[in-house]
Amino acid sequence: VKTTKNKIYILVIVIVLVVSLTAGLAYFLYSKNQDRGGLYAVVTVDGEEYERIDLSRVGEPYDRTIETEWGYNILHVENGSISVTDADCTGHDCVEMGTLTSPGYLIVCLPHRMVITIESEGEE
Amino acid sequence: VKTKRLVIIALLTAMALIMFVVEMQLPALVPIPGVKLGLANIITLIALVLIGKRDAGIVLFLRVMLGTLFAGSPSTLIFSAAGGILAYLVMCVMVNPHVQCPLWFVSACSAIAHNAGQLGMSILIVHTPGLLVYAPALVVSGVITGVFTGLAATYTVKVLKHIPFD
Repeated sequence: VKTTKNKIYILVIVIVLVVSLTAGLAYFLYSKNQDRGGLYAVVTVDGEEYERIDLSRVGEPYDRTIETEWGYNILHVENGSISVTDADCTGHDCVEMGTLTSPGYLIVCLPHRMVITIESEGEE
Repeated sequence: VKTKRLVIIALLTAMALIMFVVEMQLPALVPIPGVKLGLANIITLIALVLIGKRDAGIVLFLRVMLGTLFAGSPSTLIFSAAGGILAYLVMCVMVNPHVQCPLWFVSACSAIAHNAGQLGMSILIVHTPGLLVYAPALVVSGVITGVFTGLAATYTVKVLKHIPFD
């Protein structure tokens, strides 16, 4: 009896895994297809839009510092991509979250309440 | 008996803290905040099975508080607390004589609850529901790390349950 019960639990776990992997993959593919040329990085601080950076016409890569009452984050802007290279927060999660290139994904700096999202033209 | 209880709570808290602090030093494998092993959860599970809900709650509370003091920042406290409380509630519901499910399953569910708590708290703080894109990744990591820590707890409990704790 015990082994059949175990099998049910294993089945539940596998189903949960498959469902979430599928959801993640579907979203990834969906966001890849959202690319409509124009790319903007939207920086939000504490829920309000702070700055909108055009990523589609960047000649020389440059750094942009976002400084708020919670601290600073240094953004590295290149043509079609944006990342955080340095910040004075404790975890440095925002730096480790890597580079954004397509809409639908975001970088978060929780201690500074800052979010970077990517939008493509056509969206508001 | 009172001293014994005190010693056991202190011992378990110390072990959980060591695991927590060591884990903080490990480099992140996946670039998503919140994806981690959750080694300290092994102790919470063991405590729950061996010394009961109340004392396990005390161990968890002390570990979160002291862990923040040693290795975190004030901003990590609310995330640890949100995740910890949810995970603890799930464990309390699932570890009882009426629900006889394996410990690794309890652990996986509580890991998902933990991640859900942290994600929910993050969404509240930055006012960005878009953070939900990380939900699938957090569920997957919760299941994998939860099963792992749950099995670790199972084997430890197997050895420890011969010792009378109360």
